[in-house]
Amino acid sequence: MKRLLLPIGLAILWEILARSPLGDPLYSPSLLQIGTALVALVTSGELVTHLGASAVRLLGGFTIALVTAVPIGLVLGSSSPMKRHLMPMLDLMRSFPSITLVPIAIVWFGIGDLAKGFLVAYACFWPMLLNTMTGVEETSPVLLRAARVMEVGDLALFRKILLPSALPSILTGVRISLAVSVIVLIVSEMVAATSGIGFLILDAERNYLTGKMFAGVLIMGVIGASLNALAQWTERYLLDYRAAA
Amino acid sequence: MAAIELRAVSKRFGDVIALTDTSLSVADGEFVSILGPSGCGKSTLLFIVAGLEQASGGEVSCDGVPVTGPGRERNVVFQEYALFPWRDVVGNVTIGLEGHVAAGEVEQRARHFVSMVGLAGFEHHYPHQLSGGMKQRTALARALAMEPKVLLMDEPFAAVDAQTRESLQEELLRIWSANRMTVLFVTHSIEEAIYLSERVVVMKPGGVKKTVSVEETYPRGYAFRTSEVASSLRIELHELLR
Repeated sequence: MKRLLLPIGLAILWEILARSPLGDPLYSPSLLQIGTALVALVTSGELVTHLGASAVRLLGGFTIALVTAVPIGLVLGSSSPMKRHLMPMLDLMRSFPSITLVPIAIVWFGIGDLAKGFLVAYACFWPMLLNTMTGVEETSPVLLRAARVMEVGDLALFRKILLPSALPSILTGVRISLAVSVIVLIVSEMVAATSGIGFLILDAERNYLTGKMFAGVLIMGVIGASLNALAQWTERYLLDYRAAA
Repeated sequence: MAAIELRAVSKRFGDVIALTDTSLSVADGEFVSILGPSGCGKSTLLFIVAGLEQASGGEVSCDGVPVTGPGRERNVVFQEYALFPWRDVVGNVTIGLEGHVAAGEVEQRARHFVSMVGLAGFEHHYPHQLSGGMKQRTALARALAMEPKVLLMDEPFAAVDAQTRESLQEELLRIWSANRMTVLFVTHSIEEAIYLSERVVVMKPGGVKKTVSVEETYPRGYAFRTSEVASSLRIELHELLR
């Protein structure tokens, strides 16, 4: 309960300032204004539409990145000649901040789900790729020697040794990717889109619907926190052996 | 035919010479220790037999078959345990059996060897929950479960306390007496080499200095550790290592 004291205190302070002569409904809407906008978003079905659009792009892009980055990372991490050849190019490609690719995505894929999914996938790909590679490279040489003595086959080596050994690092990559994906998605939805939470926030701002705008921002906060909680839960679940006491 | 045969084996790591002109023959079912100071090339010799390192010169064979790489019939117990942290005790034993033993038998065989090394009741403990001695028992169970003809042990008990070390030594001899696989055991402990082995190969930097036989029948009780025979061997080996 104590953890809630500070946020509740800040909310009360916000409310007092918003209703004082210092406040202006156009710039600092009261909690009642924001709440009313939120209820309207839910009841009108507007929220479901935009949330659905954002969720499809986020999950689609993230999933594509996950299923490509992890296998590629496993292979590159275990093959130093391949890594030596490809790394300079990969280093160049990951140096573009994903957001600078927004115009390219629009030119290539338009302003629909495909462009957003591409940007999210691109942004998520690199943290997961690099963390998978690092995880594989940090596999204990003694374990690899033991695997050679046991004549563990190539496929089994990936599945039973390299993947579980790299898993903690991969999951760190997943958490970074999720955080980055939200940023890229919202920006791309603000630049050019007709749906999504990013569009909803920008559209509200352009129409001076400040309460609605703040409601959209709050929703994004909740989504970000939920994704992080989901990532943490997944980590605890997949790495449960570490917690055994 | 010798279980392990090294003829004029040499090994260089770049400019560093680890072994020169080293020959050694170990009979089937024999327990041989390799004793020497650190850096004398004894682990290198073991890894060459395991096929994990390639000799720069000379010939290595097991049962008359030239060694070209690692093989399950020449299993290794590493000083660092080499346990998989995400697998429990049974899982660490089954990983050596999966794909090589009928799927229905894997778990049962693993459990059999886990209890053989005295870890019954700890089947579902993870490595980080085990003491050093228990970790090495797990590694030993994994190696034994693969039923190797040759067991290669690289200072396996170097990292555990003295009492655990003695009980692990007794356990190892008990298992060896029952299974009679060939054992090549690398150690830097004179006492350990005497207590365990039929022959002690004393190494000097780069090769074999002398081989000393331990004329004592098995089973060897605790009394042997403090016996006249053991102490005169201790003096002899100590002199050789100087």
